[in-house]
Amino acid sequence: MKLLEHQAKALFASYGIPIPEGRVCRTAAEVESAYEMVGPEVVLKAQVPAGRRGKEGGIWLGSGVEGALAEARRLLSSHIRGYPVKELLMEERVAVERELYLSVLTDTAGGRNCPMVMVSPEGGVDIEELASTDPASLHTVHVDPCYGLLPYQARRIVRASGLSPGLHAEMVRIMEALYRAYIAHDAELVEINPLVVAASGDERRLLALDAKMSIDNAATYRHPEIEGAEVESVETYAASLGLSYVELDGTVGLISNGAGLTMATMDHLALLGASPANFLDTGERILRGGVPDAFGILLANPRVKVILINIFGGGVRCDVIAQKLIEAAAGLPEGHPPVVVSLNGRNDEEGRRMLADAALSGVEVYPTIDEAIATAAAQGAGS
Amino acid sequence: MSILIDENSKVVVQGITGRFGSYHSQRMVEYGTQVVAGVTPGKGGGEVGGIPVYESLWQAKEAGGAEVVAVLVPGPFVKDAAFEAIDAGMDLIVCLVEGVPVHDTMMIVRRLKDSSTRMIGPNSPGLISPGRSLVGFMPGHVYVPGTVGIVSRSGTFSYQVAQALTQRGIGQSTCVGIGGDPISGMSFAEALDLFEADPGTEVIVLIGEIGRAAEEEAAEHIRRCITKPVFSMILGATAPPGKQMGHAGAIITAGKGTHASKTAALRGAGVPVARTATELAALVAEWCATHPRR
Repeated sequence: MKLLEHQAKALFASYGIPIPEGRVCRTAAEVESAYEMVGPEVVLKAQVPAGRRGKEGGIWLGSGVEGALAEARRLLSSHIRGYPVKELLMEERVAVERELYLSVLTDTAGGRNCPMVMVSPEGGVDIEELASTDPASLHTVHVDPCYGLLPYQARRIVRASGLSPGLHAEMVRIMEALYRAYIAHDAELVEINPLVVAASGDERRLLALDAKMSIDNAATYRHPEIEGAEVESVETYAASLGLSYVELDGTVGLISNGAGLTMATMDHLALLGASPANFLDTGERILRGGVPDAFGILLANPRVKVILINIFGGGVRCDVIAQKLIEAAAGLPEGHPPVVVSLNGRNDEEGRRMLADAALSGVEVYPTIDEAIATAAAQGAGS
Repeated sequence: MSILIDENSKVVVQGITGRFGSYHSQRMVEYGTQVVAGVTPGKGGGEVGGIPVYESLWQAKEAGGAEVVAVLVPGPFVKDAAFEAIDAGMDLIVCLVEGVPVHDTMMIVRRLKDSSTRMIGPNSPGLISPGRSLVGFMPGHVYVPGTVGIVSRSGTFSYQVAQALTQRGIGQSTCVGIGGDPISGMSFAEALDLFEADPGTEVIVLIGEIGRAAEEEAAEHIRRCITKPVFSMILGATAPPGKQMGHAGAIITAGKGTHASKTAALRGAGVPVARTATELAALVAEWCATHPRR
């Protein structure tokens, strides 16, 4: 689950991480009152769960309440990276002297499987780009989760951050706070990019100008305190039904069980010159309403010319799956796209025989996976 | 021969009284696995399909002498179950549960480092040594005993590969599903080493998928440490970047973990990479035909 910038900032602030003065606005009235609080020089930022908003016109710097209102109206009726903008964050503008990068994430490479804190003196840029163009500017420390981030570890990478020594202690404090937030809320990633040195007169202070956080979906149950971004998409709708679904741009609608088998089927279709319309893994919902729900999602996609069902029953029996398929197919609308079925695993002969005996209109069952995929590929490619 | 489990393995099931626990315990018993006990706190003294249920793993171990534990408790309880298994000195934890918080897995694998216990999973379909023992979800009838070892991040697709091999008359020593989560107990490298050391395994099949760096690391390990022939396949050639493909660990992030990168790494280590299960089985069959069993 991804948090919006303002949600992540509020959480970071509760750990003592300094953030700019700001207000969330959804209406013109809220924009006006926010402007009174943080103006005259303001930043208006579209709140969507995606990076690189600036490049898509999602961030506005300016002054004057009229300009802010006009910009707010424009942003609130726009989409940024595919997400409708429903909220804005208005913040005070700060004089930025330099930009750094700071994050904590779970490093799974090389069997390390532990938290990693990452610092770079080159903040404000795309960190993935930096990792490939200037990896030497990234400084990391791996943390033993049993003992947590120790001050010497933090100090070591802070020294490499290029900050003036007067700010080192504050940087260590922010790093420790960010690590605590990562642990406490089952985060996959907590990131401040940029973490800036803000100047006012002779005073220099560190501020989190942006904030990013994503929470492990498997752990959200124990974090009712976390409010994440609400994303309305067919993917999240499918997830609410317990189905793993990713929409693609092809013509062969796919229903499968198991992530690997589903990907293998997609790849096989592509090898035959067809293209999958989606990834859909029914998981364990195969026996509990998963098939009619999957049909519903696929039928709503106008690009789908044929539906390929590829099931390999391991824990579940194919005769039981066949019964579910027969029931679900009875609910298909007139003139539905042809349905091609491959059924393998426990009791597969029985399951295939049941499907053949049911003689469902527009539903064909094939004895091998390769034949079913080839048939679906041919039907998906035809016009 | 086989790795990790055989006909002598004694298995205890954590969460045996749950829907999954009772169903899969029965299936394992039907296959011939020695399921000697189950554990569900608060339900000790009962039984599930003739298998005695105990309050704790220690009691179960004392009564039945099990060394393998199958974890079938819900995700939120896996950390507790795994720590109990490590403290009880079990040899092998087979974690069949999907939806384990990653920070919990991180603490479990940290604890495993200081123990002699191994863990497969989480989010693993389990493992099978055909004709000997099944600890997991595999459809037993598609497997026959033989000399091909399979290690896979995917569950269902590995069943398809096993079926394709069996249909060509090629049996398997052991098939291990290491699971699709971002953090796993057993790595490809660990499974490869076990197959390398197993006299009953002549050929190894490695099934990877997009996301993480596990296949790149496996390729490096094969180059340095594995002398037996390895054939492979990587799933997700058509997966778009930034989208999680079912498994929590199957996601291309920041241009890393792509199909192309994994395929190149494996080919660089001299490992052929097939494009379909049929092609993979054909590669193995060709090798077997030209290398009659010693």
